[in-house]
Amino acid sequence: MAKDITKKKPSRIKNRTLRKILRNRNFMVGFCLLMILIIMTIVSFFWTPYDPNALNLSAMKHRPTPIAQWGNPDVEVHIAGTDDVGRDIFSRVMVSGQKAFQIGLSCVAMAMVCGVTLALFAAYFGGWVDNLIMRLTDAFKSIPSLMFAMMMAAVFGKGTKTTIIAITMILIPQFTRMTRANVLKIREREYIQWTTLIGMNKFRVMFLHILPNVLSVIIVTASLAFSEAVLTEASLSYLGLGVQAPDASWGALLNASQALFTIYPYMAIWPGMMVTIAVLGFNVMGDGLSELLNAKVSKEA
Amino acid sequence: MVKRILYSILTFFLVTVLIFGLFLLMPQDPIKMKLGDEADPVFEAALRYKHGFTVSPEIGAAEVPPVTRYFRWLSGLFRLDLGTSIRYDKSVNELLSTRLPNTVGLAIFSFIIDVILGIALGVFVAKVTNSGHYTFGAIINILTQIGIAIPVFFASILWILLICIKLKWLPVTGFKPLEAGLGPFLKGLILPAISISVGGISLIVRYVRNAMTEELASDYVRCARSKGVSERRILYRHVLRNSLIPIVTILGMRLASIITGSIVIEQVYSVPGIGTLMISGINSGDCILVQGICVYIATVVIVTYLVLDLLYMVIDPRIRVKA
Repeated sequence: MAKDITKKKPSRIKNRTLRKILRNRNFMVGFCLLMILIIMTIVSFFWTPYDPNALNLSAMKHRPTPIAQWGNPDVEVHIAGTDDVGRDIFSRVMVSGQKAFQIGLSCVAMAMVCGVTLALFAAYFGGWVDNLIMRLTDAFKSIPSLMFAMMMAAVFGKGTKTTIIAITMILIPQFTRMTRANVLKIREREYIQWTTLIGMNKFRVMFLHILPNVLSVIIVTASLAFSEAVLTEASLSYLGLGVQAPDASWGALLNASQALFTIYPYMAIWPGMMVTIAVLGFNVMGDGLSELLNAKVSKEA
Repeated sequence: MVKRILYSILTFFLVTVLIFGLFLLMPQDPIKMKLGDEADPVFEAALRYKHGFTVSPEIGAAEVPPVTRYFRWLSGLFRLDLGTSIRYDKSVNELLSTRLPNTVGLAIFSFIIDVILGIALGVFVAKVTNSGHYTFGAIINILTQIGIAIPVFFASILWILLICIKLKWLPVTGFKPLEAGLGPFLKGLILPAISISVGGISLIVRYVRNAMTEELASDYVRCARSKGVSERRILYRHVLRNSLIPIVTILGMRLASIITGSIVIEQVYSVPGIGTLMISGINSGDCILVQGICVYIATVVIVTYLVLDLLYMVIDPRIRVKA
């Protein structure tokens, strides 16, 4: 009997969760937008229409090929045109996706680990540990994030590595603040107070009992942090302080189009559109996730 | 209240330590970057002394320890002296003062657009959606989400393409300094300002609409309706007023994004402001200049947050009692 119940339960919950996810419009819209980018990025590892770095001086500043011409074997098809040294813009936009996800993923992952650990320490130990960590977080808040990234570029030189470190440091306080606020709530619950009573190891309580309860908040924060990472990277590269010349990134492509876009607008529109889609996707998905996960939390409580 | 002010002062000190400490980690030597490797050693030593890196202007003079340099810099800050820029060989104050009007003008301009258009549109949207036009609400929802997501520089590129190239209403590089008169100055800032404001307007519209929709469902509105208060009066006198408190928070938080936005936007429209100054400082490794600008902006942000918190106490008596 007991076995039957455990067998039945997961399948029903799975269906219900899936139905809930599919019905959440915010989540689905964000997810679909991001899927477009993710698929495009994965494809770019194996195939791009042209070599994204190959110069082609016979095909400089080609305007985008009209759709009617796409099937024509006599025409060199450039979906988004070519730039001032004849590189295919669509290929470069595709490859740039790799950079965006590389930077986004590594920054969010590192910031999540550091930020959440700090928050757990701050909230659980309280006292001067909490004070120190939170004061530092607040100090960070009064430096606008892009300005901080620019400062890092000034100190450690421009490039992908500095960009990743800078964005990670920008994101850490956000994870810390969000997690801490929720850990404080959970800490007051009786089952956490009982762990002290039975003399349980503090680290065990923090990571095995408190952390799982704030996971939903962390996930939502991560989605929003991802959008900020993409946006900051693009802004920094646009200013010429982020990803540097031979590498392609959406911001760097926009930077390269700066002098030309009034005559060749497609050079700016494609990469700009991609940044917008990425940021929009993560924002909307974050909204959807917070609806989905909040509902879950309230059902448990 | 005293606690809140002390707390701001503490934050200020932490920020100065943070900024100064970060620049200590700089691997390159800013003086070497300016002069090149084969500089006259006498001149180099003199320059080093002038910027406070060494104790005397002789060659091979001992370096000033970082802690002493920090306290010198800090006491300079209190005397409103941000040091001398290595690249421009002028005081940072002087450089800032020539460029400040442009950035401040841009920031204030876009802030005004934010507030006026954001609140007006927000009230309008709340009114229309609450009278049953849900499709309209959905469209606004999509548009504002896009408005929030779109990066400032891309928004400005689209504005240039639309207004300067397609419609030919304004010239592409239309920036005029303040000396040319207020009219041309503001005209040159229209495009940069609306580019920064796209995100702000979208954000404020969403907040105003949500806050008002929430307030419209509350008991006091039902009570007012049952007493026969006109719908117009309910909306403007009661609902709008109560929804303004969360909106003040948003306006305060907009400040940081307006500063970041203007740093980027100055680059697009080649406005000689603080952002362009900072980027040229970064490109030439001028740590004194970049430090100065960062501390300056951070102070503005800290003071704004402080004023905002004090403002709450004025607006909302409930917070005053709690604090």
